[in-house]
Order: sequence, then C-alpha cells, then structure tokens
Amino acid sequence: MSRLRPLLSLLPVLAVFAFWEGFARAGILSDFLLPRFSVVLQRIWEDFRDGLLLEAIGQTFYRAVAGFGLAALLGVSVGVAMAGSRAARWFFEPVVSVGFPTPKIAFLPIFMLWLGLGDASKVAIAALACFFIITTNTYLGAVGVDRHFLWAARSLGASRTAVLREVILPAATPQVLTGFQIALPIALITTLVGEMIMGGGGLGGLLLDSQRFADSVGLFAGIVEIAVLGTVLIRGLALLRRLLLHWHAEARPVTS
Amino acid sequence: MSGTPAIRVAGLRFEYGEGTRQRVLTLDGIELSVRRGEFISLVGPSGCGKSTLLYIIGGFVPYRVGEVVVNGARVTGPGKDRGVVFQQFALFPWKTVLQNVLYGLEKQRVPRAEALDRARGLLRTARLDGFENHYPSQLSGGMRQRAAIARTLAVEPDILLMDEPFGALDAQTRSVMQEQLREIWRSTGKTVVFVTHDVREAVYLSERVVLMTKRPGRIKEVVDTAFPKTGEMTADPRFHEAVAHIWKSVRAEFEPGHG
Ligand SMILES: Nc1ncnc2c1ncn2[C@@H]1O[C@H](COP(=O)(O)OP(=O)(O)O)[C@@H](O)[C@H]1O
Ligand SMILES: [Mg+2]
Repeated sequence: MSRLRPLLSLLPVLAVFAFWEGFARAGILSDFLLPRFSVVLQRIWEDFRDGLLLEAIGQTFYRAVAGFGLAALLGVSVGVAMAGSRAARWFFEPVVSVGFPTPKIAFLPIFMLWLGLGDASKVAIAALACFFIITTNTYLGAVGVDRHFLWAARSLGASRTAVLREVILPAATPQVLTGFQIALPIALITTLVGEMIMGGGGLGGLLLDSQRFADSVGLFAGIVEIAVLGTVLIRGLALLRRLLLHWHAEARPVTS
Repeated sequence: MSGTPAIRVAGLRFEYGEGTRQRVLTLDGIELSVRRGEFISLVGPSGCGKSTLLYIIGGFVPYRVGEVVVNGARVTGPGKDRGVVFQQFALFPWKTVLQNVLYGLEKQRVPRAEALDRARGLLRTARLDGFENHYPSQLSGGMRQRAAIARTLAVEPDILLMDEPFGALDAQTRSVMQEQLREIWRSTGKTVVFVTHDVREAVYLSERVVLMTKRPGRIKEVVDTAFPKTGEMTADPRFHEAVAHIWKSVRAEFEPGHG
C-alpha cells in the first residue's frame, strides 16, 4: 500500500493527460491549436534523443538554481543580520519594504543592458526575484525565536555572534526553508521569462524558437518539460526540508 | 570574601516598556540579600514579577534603577556564574540531549574527551542514559526537565536560578525531582533562587521563603524556614505553621482593595 501511494498520487495527472488526448482526438480543435498528447510526448522523446532537451534543461536549471543560490546566501545573511543588529535593521528594513512588492521582472531590461544577453543577466534577475522573499522569511523566523533560547545560550557562555550562528539560525530554519520553497519556483519562472524575452537557450529559449516557427507541438512540449522540471525541483527541496528538520516535530511521525 | 552575599539586590525598580505608553511598573523597591550557599524561594501571585526578578539577576533583562550585585560585581549581562533553568526548559530542539548538555562545555572550551565524560556522567545522574541521542521533542516533560537541569549544571555555576522548574510535572516526578535538587544543593553548596507558586514546595526546599506582593512586586515578607525537613508530607508542626502562614499572606494579595 505504501509503495503504491506515490503512483496513486500520479493518477489525477494521468487523468488530465488522458482527457487531453481524448479531447484532441475528438477533433473539436484543429491539430495546430491543440496537438494530441501522444504527439507532444513523441516530440519530447525526439528532443531528448537528440540531446536538445537535456541541454536546455541543463541551462535553465543552472540559471534558476544559481540565481536562487545567490539569493539564498545573501538573503539568509541579511535576514539574520537584521534580526541581530539594529544598524542592519535600520538600513535594510526600508530597502526590503520597497523591494518586496516591486515586480522584479521590470529590472530585466536594465540587467540586459548591464550584463548582456548571456547567463549573467538571467541569473541576476532570478536572484533579485528571490532575494526579498528569502530575506523577509529569514528575518521573521529569526526575530520570532523564543528569547529563552538566546538567554540559555548566553548564560552557557555563548558570545553574541555565536548566538546568531548557533541559536538564531537553526531556530529560524523552518521559516527559512519556507522562504526557499516559495522562492525556488519563482526563480524558475523568472529564468524562463528571461529566456523567453532575450533568448540564449534554455527551456524558455526552446519555447521562443517554437513560437517563432509556429510550431505548436514544440510549444506544448515545452510546457510539459517545464512542468516536469518545476515538479522535480520542488520535490527535491521538500526532501531537503525533511532531512534538515529531522529534529523538528513536523518531520517525524509520532514515535514511542 | 565569604562575608559578601552571593546576590544583593538594592532599591531595584523596573518597568517594562519604559518611556512608552504601555509601560508596566513590574518591580518596585526590591531589597534582597542571598547568602552564599543559601536556598531561597520566591513566591507571590501570578504576574507579580518573580520571573522578571530572576531574569534581571540572570543579566538577561537590563535595569536602570537600583543595584543588582552578584559575587561582588554589578550585573551587566549574563554570566556562567549564574546557571538558569527556565520554566519552558528552553532546550535547543535541533540538538540531541547529549549535544544540549555539551553546548556549555564547548563554549567553555573544555577538551572534548573531558566534556563527553562530564556530560555522560550528568546524564547518568539525571537517569537519561540511553536517551543521549534523542531530541527534546521525543522526551516526556520530566525528562526534558532533567535534561535542562543537566545542561545548566554542566558548566558548574555557583548560583542556580530556577523559574518554576517543576511546575509542569506530575506529583510523583515532582517529588523525585525535589529530592534530587535538595541532594545537589546539599552536596555542592550552590546558592539557589527558586521561583514557585507551590507553597509546600517552597517551604520544603528552602531556608527562607520570600513573599512578594501583587504587581508592582515588592517584598512583603521573608519567612525563615531553615528547620530540618523530612519531606513535603512531614507531620512537623513548624512545617505546617510556615505553610499556613505563607498561604494566608499570599491569599491576602488576591483580595480586592488590598496592597
Ligand atoms: N516582555 C514583557 N513586556 C511587557 N510586560 C511584561 C513582559 N514580561 C512580563 N510582563 C509583565 O510584567 C509582569 C510580571 O511578569 P512576570 O515577571 O512574568 O511575573 P511572574 O513570573 O511573577 O508571574 C506581568 O504583569 C507581565 O504581564
Ligand atoms: Mg513567571
């Protein structure tokens, strides 16, 4: 039963694909407007065989994860610093409150100008899109830490900086990871939009090419590929959360 | 040096949210002196400032008016001379029991082998051997309590500040813990400041019971309870007299228009 459960949760997805196939075969829409799922699947297989698909996935994955990683590094540092230092809070609080609601994609033309049309501008836009989410979540997690933990550590001889690293950071980890989980799909979306606007390969670049050549099968194939990549990334992060929070009650079924 | 009190509090006045509209006068004119090796309890109505007083002595909450002196030095922050056991235990949930106990030893740069020895010894005394690699969330309330005390004792503070440490325990575990605490106190000669709302517990454990008024907390009365004790269930008339007296005095704080 427990082995079957992952397969069981796949059932609704398969149902959607089956419906797609059936609806397309019914011929209400032309094959151009809605190609059959089986045809799309065949295209994905061909792209995979040619190595085209893996190359594109690799590019998009690298850009999204590099941008996300950069934002994670900076966002966690800034968030923890804001919680621990009045000066950092004074500086970053207004910056974050302006930056958080600003649509980051608006910076894309500027980044293209500064960093060119290659990887750098795409990584940068993904990083910017993630930074405020991660910073805010880290900060909220860090200021919400029970003060008795801080006091216990201080009275056991921990310095202020040790408290930051050894108490505030681990105590804030659940919320930091929540920030990561919100930010990662945004990194992926932003990277794809960047690729679709400026080209330069990746899954977004493939979509752009398909659009240019009026290749509707290619467009649908791209969507399925993106969905799969997104799902894999999100599942991977959820797994990481379970590993990192093995100490946390949420990660553990009731034990004896 | 033995003449210097372990803790001396003089003219302490404390407000939360000082200078704001929501300021709460919590402690007013606190005078208290605790001898080296003495065991005192603080009792008083809920919200009268017992925890706050303990936090100030611990150096966690800064004060402006009055003086708090520990071992001859004015308190300006936390220090390892004062070990604290919090009401909520405050064990680090991301560390195992053993890692929790080791934390203070690591901060004191005790060599690894010695630290492990000491931590394991303390856990044995706390009857937690076999649970070294459990996380706090996997322990019962009594076990968490013992782990928290072991963590505090590991760095060998000469003053123990304990905030209702047995409040969450069932009666049986509680009396076992009381025995252990008395034993630790007797064998190590530590100074103990113990906050409780349980009057029998206060009389049984301590040499003096300090009664506080309702907020703003002042010291209402100090009752000498240093007679020999055999247990909380003793028939000793002095025990019952002290309990009855303190009860009456604490209850009076709840009556309207009083204090
Ligand atoms: N961080 C805080 N900010 C503002 N008021 C507080 C804070 N902590 C406690 N108080 C108030 O101070 C008073 C004393 O609290 P406390 O020391 O916890 O009392 P006790 O431990 O005797 O129950 C209470 O009225 C409480 O509401
Ligand atoms: Mg209290």
